[in-house]
Amino acid sequence: MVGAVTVANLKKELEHLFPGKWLSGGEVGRTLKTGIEQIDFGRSAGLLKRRVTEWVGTSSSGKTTVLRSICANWCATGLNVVYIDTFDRLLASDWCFFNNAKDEKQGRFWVLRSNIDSAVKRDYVKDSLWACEQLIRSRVFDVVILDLGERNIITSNFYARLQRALERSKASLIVLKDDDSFAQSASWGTNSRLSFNFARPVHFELGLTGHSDDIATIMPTIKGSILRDGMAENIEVSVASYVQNRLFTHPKVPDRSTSKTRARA
Amino acid sequence: MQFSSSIGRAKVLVCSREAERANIRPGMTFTEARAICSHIVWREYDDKFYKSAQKKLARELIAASPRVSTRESGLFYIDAEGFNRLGGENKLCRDLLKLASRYGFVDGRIGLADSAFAARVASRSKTKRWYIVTPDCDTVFLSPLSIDFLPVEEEAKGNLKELGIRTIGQFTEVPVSSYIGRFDSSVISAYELACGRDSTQPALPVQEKQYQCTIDIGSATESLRDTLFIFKTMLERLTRDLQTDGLCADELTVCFFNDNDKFDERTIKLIRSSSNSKFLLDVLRLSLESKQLKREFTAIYLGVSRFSKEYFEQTKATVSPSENSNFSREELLLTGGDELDDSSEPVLLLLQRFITRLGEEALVKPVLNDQYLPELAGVWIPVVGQSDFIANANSATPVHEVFLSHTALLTTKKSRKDCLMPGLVLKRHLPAMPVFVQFKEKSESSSEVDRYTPFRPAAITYRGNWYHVNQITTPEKISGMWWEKPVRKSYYVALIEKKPEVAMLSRAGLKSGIRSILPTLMTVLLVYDHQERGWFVEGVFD
Repeated sequence: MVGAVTVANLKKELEHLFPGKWLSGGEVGRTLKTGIEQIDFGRSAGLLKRRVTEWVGTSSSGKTTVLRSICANWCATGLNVVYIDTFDRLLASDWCFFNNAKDEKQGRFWVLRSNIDSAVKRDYVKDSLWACEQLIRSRVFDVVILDLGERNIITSNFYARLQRALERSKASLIVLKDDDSFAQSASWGTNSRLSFNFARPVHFELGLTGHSDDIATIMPTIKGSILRDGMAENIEVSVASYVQNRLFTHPKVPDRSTSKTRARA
Repeated sequence: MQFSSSIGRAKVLVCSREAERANIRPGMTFTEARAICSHIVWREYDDKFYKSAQKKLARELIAASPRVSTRESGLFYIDAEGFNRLGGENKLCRDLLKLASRYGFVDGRIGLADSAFAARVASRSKTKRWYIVTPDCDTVFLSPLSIDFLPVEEEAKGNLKELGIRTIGQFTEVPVSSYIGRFDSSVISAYELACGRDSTQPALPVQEKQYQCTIDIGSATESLRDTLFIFKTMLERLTRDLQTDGLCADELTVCFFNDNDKFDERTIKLIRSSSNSKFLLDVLRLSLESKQLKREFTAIYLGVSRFSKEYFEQTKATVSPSENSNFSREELLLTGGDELDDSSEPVLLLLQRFITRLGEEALVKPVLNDQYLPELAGVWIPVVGQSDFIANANSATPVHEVFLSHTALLTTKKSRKDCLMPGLVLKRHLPAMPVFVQFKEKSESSSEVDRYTPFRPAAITYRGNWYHVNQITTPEKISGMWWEKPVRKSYYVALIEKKPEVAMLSRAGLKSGIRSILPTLMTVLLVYDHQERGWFVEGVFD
């Protein structure tokens, strides 16, 4: 028994060093790798398929940024992802890199929007939950992301329904919540919980003039913790930054005043 | 205008005379057209809708003349013979224009001649709303006109002009035998038209078959099961008729009556044309489940409001060599064409379910747009009709080897800039949240910076708390949309931190059991709207 555990651990270590060669088909089939090293080879070993994963963090904590990077990886490898944006908070320009590639093998990224209209009274959360169940039951998507914002109102009864739907599908459900990061326990029915928050050090890119106050990009560090089977593990996720401020990409305007002054002199 | 992947790239298919006067031409992209004419108004091209409107108007024009037929979009051929005792041809023209204007078509023009071609050319008169060509004088009328009126290609027109033929008269002077062998058939048929020989004649309108059923139950019913049973009976009859005529339903209209009171009417657009009664029944069931009836009904009307010809296509067969073998072992892959195949029935039902309950715009995919403003730099395009997804939806998905070999590189620090999705994700506040701003006191050292950033916030309020602005980027100033609603904004990315005294209070609150939803460190998109003269938080980076 001890020997088997040691071999399994050794395989995991080797997989960490030489990815894609050591894990057996069964292990691969059960989990969904994210492409983020800290999540894939840590305690969680990726996200479990046919299970609910909570993805939490306070508002502005970096959780959606990490999730977007993961979605990009999933789409690149042909997985189909659907994001239920209950409160229409996503910007299309942030997510439109997914469908750009003309590669047929690339998975699709769809978003379900509520199209909130103040004139029409509708229970958007109820519609989102209904849509989530339908999307899982359709067996078309590999990953379903349910973004409930600050409305954390999934009842245990509904969790059970989602879990039943998941068991008959190939999908993995990620419930995204703007939640208090101090909460340590996962909700009823969830398999694992990943929580995130912005932290120091904050990464800056300087702007046109190079002056210390002339900043083009702000990128805080994203720290997280994984909670699974009662065991927690802290991680630090590195997500690439790019030049947020487009002014930064413009070439510096040449200063010709000096040369003219010299010519006059 | 045909709707492309993004509105900027949509192409102009048809344009009005006013648009033509502003130098807009079919084939231009929307961006090109808007660059020429800022107040352009665009409409999505709907061929079926235009045809049905034309048929509807043709039915009304029968009141003026018995023989009316329709051809191209916006063109009617009307028999104008035998009106001498009914007020003459002038009265007929006046009546026709009056009739058309009653239905909103106020800029109609009429040409009256012996042949259809001459009448068509006469209708293009710039000075008169109706132009009557003297009987037996079609060739005389046509002869001084330019050959640009002839229905021939531009290249042929250019060749004719190079030969010195500029008017229709010059064109008909040359015997037809000279054109045979030198020009294509379109020029020969144009020669016949120019000579006043046109076989096009208005015909008696054909009565169109309508596919509809009504059932009067006699007693009040509200049970879903009973309703579906009634629908099944109706659909079986309708689909049998459709299949006999080789047609498919595109849109259904259902009305529910309580005695003579029509209390519910719903139009159900189908994502795929179908004459399959089982599929149509499923769609009706979805509609009833998502929008329940307010009261019991006694009669139902079910009609096919839009239909199209049944489309048959041979499935495409592509031969691709399998990875582990030579050419001896080949895999034959059958993929559906542009139409959705039956194997993707679950996907179809899923999409239909979403359309019926949440609307067509609910399930979308992101596409880039040619705008600088962050909220307009991308657009959400409805996925319905994107059948390419269906082919990939059920296919086997590579999960491990390729995936890890691809993504392992991305996580290393060296390749951080090459990551697929760099940067932070913005989550918008709808509508933008107005905030109070406290400015930094001006100091001599910051004068150079302040030249670029005249407003430099030091603290802002966010959801009732004061936040100290820890770091703020150089503003990105964007203006535009002057053709719709002018926008002039300065975009800042700000790293905000709770003020120490507030942070202490919230820590105290936490100890006493009060939960704090807001974090101490946040990155927000702070915007100064120059038009509104106010500060807003448009979203948080999450």
